[in-house]
Amino acid sequence: MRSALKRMSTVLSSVRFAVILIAFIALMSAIAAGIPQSRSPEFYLSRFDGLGRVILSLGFHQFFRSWWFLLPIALFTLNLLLCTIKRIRRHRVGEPIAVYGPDVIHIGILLLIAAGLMTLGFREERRIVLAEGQTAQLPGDYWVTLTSFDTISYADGSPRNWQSELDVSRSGNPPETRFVGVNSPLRIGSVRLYQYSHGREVTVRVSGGNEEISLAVGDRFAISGDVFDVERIDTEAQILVVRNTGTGAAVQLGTGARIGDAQVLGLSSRPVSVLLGVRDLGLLPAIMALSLIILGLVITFGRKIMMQIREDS
Amino acid sequence: MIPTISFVVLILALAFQVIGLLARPRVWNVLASVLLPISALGLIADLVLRSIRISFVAVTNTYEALVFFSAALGVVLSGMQFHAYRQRDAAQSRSHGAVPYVVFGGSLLMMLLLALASSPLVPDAVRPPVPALRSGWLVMHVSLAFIGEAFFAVSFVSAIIGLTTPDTGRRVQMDRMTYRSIAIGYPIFTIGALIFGAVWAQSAWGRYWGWDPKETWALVTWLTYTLYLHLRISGGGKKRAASITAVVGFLFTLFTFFGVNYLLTGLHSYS
Repeated sequence: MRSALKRMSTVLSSVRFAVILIAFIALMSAIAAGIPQSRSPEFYLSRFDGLGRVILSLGFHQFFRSWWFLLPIALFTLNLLLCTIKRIRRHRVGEPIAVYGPDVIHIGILLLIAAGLMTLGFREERRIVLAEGQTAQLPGDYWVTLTSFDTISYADGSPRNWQSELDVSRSGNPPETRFVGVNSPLRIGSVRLYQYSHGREVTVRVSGGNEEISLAVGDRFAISGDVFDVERIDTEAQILVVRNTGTGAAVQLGTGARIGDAQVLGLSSRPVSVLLGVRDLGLLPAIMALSLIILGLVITFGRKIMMQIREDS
Repeated sequence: MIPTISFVVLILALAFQVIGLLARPRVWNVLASVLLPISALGLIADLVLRSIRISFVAVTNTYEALVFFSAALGVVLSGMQFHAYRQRDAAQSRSHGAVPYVVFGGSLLMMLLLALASSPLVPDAVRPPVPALRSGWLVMHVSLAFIGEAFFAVSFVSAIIGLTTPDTGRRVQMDRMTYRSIAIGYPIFTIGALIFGAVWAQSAWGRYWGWDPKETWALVTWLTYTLYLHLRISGGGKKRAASITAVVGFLFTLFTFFGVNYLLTGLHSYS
């Protein structure tokens, strides 16, 4: 029994096993990259015909959350962990620090896998659409109000940056003015805000109870028992293009258009800033992991390169 | 104008390299080894001028990426030539006798990259970057990725020579050159393409990894070179498998750069 366990441990921690797993993960990832991920079943069936059924039944449409991916990653993690322990135990006191380089890389990769799992399980994101003067609440009793949304342009008129000016307040404290722009996220408490996009928010008035619905591109809404996704807003032509999620049909809505029993009475629009609020418990471990990997690479390959230079001279 | 001059100089360098390899008089190799760095410097000058015009580092579209990649490859090949020249009186010739062949193969790759950059498929208009690309992390991500890939290009050529030569001594030399190139390129590529890419993605899109086709193929490329390094340390008869892996790795590098842009869609469709 003990010798069987020892043999299994030797195989599981071997470089050969690592080579097999790395090749398998690379091959499967390459195949999965050619398949659009996380779309509706109707998408795969209409785009890939019979192959679409195979993709769905094998779970390749959510490949990076499927057992095809997670099991090899789990085995690779085990292999790397056992190999790292074996290597560290083999080191002798007094060896140069450079021999620990690969171990630092391996520990960094193990930490990165753990960070990835934390992100998979605990990452939350929320799109926040704000017109000027509108307010949204964030976790931790923070409130953000959009005071202005600016497009900063180059001399030729093309956009250089988009920036939202926000008043940020908490629990009755006076508001602070903060800015969030593209590539310049803003941290508020446990949430990071990103300048995700901008656009126009259309307010649609429909008959039957004076209902008003405010919509932006990507929103989902229900009318008369049908559910629609907003695909495009043409503010000049005063038209909303929506797709029925049940039938897949695209519908153009302008003033007077009918949706089931309801009728569109009017459309109005205003500019909005679209922010993305993210909370990710895996972010800090990921940063630590990447830093370790950089350190390990510098130690390992710096040493290899110095050895080659000494060999040449 | 400057890229055209660099291209012509590179063609001349290639012609002299061929004469030097076939006819062997030293003067042709010397001429070729002077023209190659001149070509690379021309490409760098073009990028500097573009950067001044757009007030940002010019690595934000496919044309600039191709020119940068070519320039980086030119610098690496010039460095190899210089190193071989300094080692020319070494008691053992090691890989230096084969350097002209590798430089020739690398110069051919440089020519192909520049030919693609000058094709109608790749617009070369001087335009400032869109907001998502205005990031120091993006500059470091792209530049280090291509510098690493320049070394991978060298390993691609040396691996092919090593796999196809009947000369055992040359095979050993090419194996050593392949390993050295990857030993330099791998950490640079890892830090540039994957790590700084993840940092930029986090600051731009709020997530450090999203299994975007470009990201996934960059990971596939990295895994392939990781496979190479682990095959090499396995020893035994794995050196041939390692060389094949080095060839495949660079083909994956090219697919990550071109194939993903034109065949697979994603958030990353800038260059």
